[in-house]
Amino acid sequence: MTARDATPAPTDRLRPAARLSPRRAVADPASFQWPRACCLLFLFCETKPPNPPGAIKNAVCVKKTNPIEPKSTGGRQGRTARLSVIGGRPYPRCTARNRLYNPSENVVFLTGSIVKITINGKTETADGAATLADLLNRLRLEPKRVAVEINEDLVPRARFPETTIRDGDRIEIVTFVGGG
Amino acid sequence: MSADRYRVGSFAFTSRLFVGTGKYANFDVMKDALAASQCEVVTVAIRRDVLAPEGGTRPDNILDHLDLTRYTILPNTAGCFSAKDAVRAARLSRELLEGRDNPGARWVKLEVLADKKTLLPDPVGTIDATRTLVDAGFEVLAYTSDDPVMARRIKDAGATSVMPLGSLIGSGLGILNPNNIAICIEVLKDGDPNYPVIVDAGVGTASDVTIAMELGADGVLLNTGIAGAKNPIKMAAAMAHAIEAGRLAHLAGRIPKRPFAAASSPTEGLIAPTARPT
Repeated sequence: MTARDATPAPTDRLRPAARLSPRRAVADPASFQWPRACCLLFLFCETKPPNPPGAIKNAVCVKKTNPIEPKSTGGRQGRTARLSVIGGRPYPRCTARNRLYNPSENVVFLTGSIVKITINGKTETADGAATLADLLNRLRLEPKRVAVEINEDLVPRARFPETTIRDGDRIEIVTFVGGG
Repeated sequence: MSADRYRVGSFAFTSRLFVGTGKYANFDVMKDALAASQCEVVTVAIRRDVLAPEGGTRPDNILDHLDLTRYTILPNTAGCFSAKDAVRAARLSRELLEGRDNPGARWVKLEVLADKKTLLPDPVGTIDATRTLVDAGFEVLAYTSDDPVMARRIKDAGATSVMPLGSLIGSGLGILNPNNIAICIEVLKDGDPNYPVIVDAGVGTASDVTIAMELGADGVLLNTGIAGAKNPIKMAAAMAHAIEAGRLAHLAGRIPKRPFAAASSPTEGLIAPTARPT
C-alpha cells in the first residue's frame, strides 16, 4: 500500500462543497419572505427595495423575457438590463407586489443559480434548477418532436424530466427537415 | 405493374424509387410529387429546431405533412463531414423516429461528405461510421462513389446496402460512369444476388433513372431531379414510369451491343440484288 492510498482526503477540500448545497434556497413559497427576496431583484428594479444583509441567495425574482426574442424588440431595454431566463417557477406573490411586472407569466422565481448554456449555438441564461423537460416546456417544444444532445451526448426522451441543466452545457435540439 | 418485391435489410418494398423531401416550393407540392412518384420510402434530414419567439408561430414540421402509415422514413446524415458527426446525426434521427413509432428508426442513409464543393463521400469516414453504426444496431445504407473497390469495402464493413452515386449530388448529370455502376452491382451481388444496390444522386431526368435500373440496380434515390423540375408532380410521375421501364428492361435482358448492323427484315427473297459488296 502506498502512502497516497493511506492518506485520507483533506477535509478542507470537502467543506466548500458541503457549504454549497444549502444555497439551493427557499423552494417553499409559503416560507418565502417577499422583501428579503426582492433585495436580489437585481437588474430590473427601478426603485431598489431595502437590502438586508444575508438575504436568501438564489431566490431570485427576475423578469422572464423571451429567450429567443430578438434584442431589438425589448421595450425596457434602455433603462434596465434584460435577462432572458429559461426555467424557474412562476411566483404570483412576487408579481402582485411588484408594479413593474403585471402578467405573472413574466416573472419567475428561480430556485437554482443562474447558469449560462448554449442552445443550438446561441447563448442563453437558465435556472440552474431547471430540467431538460422544463427547458423544452419553456421553449414550447413537444418532447416527442425533438431529439436532444447535451455536450454531444444523446439524451433519451425518457430522461428529459430527470436531466438537469449545468453551467456551460451545450444543448442541441433537432428535428426533421426536408432533405435528400 | 410488376409486383416484384425486394428487400433492403429488414424492410421489403415494391416501389424501387426513394424520393428526397428537400427543396420543394411548399409541403403541398411535396405531397403531390411524392404521391405521383408512387414511392414508399422518403428521406429526411435533421437540423437544429427553430426556436420561435414565444407566442409566435413555429414553422410546420415535415413529419406532420407526411403520411407516416404510408411512407417509411429514411433519415440521412447529409451535411456531416466527419464520421463522428454522422454517427451523432444517426442517433438523433433514431430517437426522433422512435418517438413517432416509424420503422425508419431502424435504418439510416449514411453520408460522410468530404467537401462542400463536390459533396463527394469521404471513403475513410464512411467506412468508420458504417462500422460504428452497424455495431450500434443500425441498418446502414451507405452513400459512396461509383468505385467498385470502395463499394466492396463498405459491404464488408457491414452495410445493409451500398448506394453508389450516378454523379455529384444535385448535379443532374445522370449516370456518368455506367460501366463503374455495372461493376459495382456485379461485385456487390457476387454470390449474394439479393444484396440491394441503390443508385443515389445525380439524376437529372427520367432516362437517368431508367439507365440505372437497366444496369441492374435495385432502386434509385433522387431528390433534386423531381423537386427542381419546372413541374415536380409531372416529373415525379415520369420517374415512376422510368423506374418501371428500366426494371422491366433489366429483367427482360437486353440484346448485346454490336458494332455493325444486323438486318431485322429477311435477307432472302429480295426483289433487288445487294447493292454493293461490303
